Amino acid sequence: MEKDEILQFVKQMKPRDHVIMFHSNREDKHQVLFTYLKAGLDQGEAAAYVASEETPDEIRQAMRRFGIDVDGLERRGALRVIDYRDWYIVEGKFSATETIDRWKKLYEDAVAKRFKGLRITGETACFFDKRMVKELVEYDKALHRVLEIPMAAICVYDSGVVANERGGELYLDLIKAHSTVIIVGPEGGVVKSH
Amino acid sequence: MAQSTTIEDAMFQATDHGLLALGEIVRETIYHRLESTCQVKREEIPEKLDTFHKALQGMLGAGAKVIEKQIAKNLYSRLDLDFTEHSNWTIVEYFDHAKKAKGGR
Repeated sequence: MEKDEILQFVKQMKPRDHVIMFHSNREDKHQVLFTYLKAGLDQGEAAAYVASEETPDEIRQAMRRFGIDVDGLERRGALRVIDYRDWYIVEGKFSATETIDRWKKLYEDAVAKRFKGLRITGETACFFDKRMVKELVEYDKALHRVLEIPMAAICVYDSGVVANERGGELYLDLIKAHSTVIIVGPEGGVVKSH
Repeated sequence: MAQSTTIEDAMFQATDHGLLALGEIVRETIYHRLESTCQVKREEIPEKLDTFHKALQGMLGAGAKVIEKQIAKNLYSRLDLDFTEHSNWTIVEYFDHAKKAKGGR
């Protein structure tokens, strides 16, 4: 599968779609995630990006370069770029329940502001940095179960980091556990989807 | 596990099995991509392993290392060889080592 097909795939994601994505470099990560978020924003949905591999300001800069009107969208409440310390690991602690409650509230806020839906994405680098991989896997499973919240979600993993975790077993476990997986390599990629 | 007739047969079967860790759809996508862009049919993978390795890296990035390890483990099992992981080996080195261990058969 070429990258164009991956971009087409993420543009067409629907509420309750929960996808995990492995990426090989930041450029590809930006291209796929910004395409996904922009497609939602362009059709009147809200969007949120939880940053941990890069800072929120780095993400905002990259979004601007991509052609997203970050300042206007943030002013209107359509886009939020969030620091992982305000969302995932707050004051050094992670709670899957509290994080999922934050997503629910964000969705309810989006609907209250008359947005047509919500597309979210979150970088998972902080869980590896803080050695909270077990918590991440539990959260990921819980999020998968509770995507009765009608929002679309992409959880983002760095291939290079995950491939080295538990001798590659985590990589295989994550692929097995998810019905939809996007793997973006340096020269293309593949999508596992049912 | 049944002993394969040749190391190449074992390699072909191990590849087919190892790629299945990504799911059937992805395995077929990889075979299709190999054939369409690298002109390598699935049954030619054992003789064109370097091309296979590069294509896998292009599509999966660091994930290729995990899948190649799965393939190598499966190959060694089919050949009744003990598998030892080498962090800097690709599937090409594992296959060469297996061939030597089996006397170049």
